[in-house]
Amino acid sequence: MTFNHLNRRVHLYLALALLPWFFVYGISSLAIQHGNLFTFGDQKNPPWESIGEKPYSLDIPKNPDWRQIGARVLMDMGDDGLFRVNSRDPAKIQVTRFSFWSQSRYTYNFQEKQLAIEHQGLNLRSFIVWLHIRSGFNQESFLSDLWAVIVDIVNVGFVLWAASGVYMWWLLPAQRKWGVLALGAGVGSFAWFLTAL
Amino acid sequence: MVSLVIRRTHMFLALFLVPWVLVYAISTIVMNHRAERGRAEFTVVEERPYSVEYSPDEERNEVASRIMADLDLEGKHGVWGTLEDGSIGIHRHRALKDLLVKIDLKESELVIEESDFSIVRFLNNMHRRRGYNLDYFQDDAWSFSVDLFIIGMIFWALSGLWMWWELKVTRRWGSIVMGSGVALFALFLLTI
Repeated sequence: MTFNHLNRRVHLYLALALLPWFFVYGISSLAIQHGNLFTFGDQKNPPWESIGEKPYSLDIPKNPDWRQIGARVLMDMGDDGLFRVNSRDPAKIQVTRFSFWSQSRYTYNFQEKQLAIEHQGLNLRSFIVWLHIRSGFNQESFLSDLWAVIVDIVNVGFVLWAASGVYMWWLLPAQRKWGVLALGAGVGSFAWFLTAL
Repeated sequence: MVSLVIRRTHMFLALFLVPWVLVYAISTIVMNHRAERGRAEFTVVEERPYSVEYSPDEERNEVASRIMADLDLEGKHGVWGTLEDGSIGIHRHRALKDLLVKIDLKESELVIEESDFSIVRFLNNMHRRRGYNLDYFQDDAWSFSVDLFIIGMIFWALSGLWMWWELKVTRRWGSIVMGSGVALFALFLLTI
């Protein structure tokens, strides 16, 4: 197998393996760039529905580990999975349990010792946007970390496709002139954006 | 003939969009690893007398836009301060180095500060710049280029499938690889 052959096969099979992510990032970028494109009705995001409110007691230590406290709230509510914690408001803590399909929000008010529970189903637009922005290694979950690894692979893939694509183009002497024009026009336009934006 | 057009469009579109491919790919890796953006450090690059005339019924943002046009610094910006207080500041969000334009309306003084360059901030900002909601040609042109990149991505996927199907010897392994990718993606959708 020659290097040219290997290069072509890597370019092809890597793209085939990552095809779902390719479509996800393409379509979700459209949803982000054109806010109303996948919105049906008035709302970009579905409303939060109140499930209820109940008395709840939570001891907060002096230097709290908010993720640990968030996990405790979820456990007490019989819920588990991926979550984020918002502790910016000194009067309350908000724990949001999320998946690709829906979110549940638990808001604990320190003074009133009350826990409000809300639920949000996702519509098409928010589902697509969630797929786009899901990233990072900040969850205690193997599959979530694996998703983040795939995100890295997709983007290393983009760099490889660019490099292997340029190499394949260079091996086509008849296309060099027009290719140089296309590449030059792209680099030139991008350089203009860097100075003009 | 159709096949040739698809192959050439796939290649030339990709060659044109190479800088966008690299910026979006590298910035996504940076964002995936939550790299610290850090606070921008600003240093004074210009200080001089500068007077602004404005009518009492003029809005702060109108005055700011007029100042930026006068200074030849038009583009995406945010404004703080009030005309009543006699000083306004304008944060010009540029691609490489941001500017802070501070105007003391009472003392008729202008100070321009420039930020340091940070590769993490640059990649984050370029990744997030989008939309057609600003009244500047360069921002609309950038958004158009983002649309072209998005169309390019979808086209590369579809035309790639077409080209793969034409290569009969790769169909079996291609189907296995693609099927594995789809299965893994479905697993993620169902579990996390």
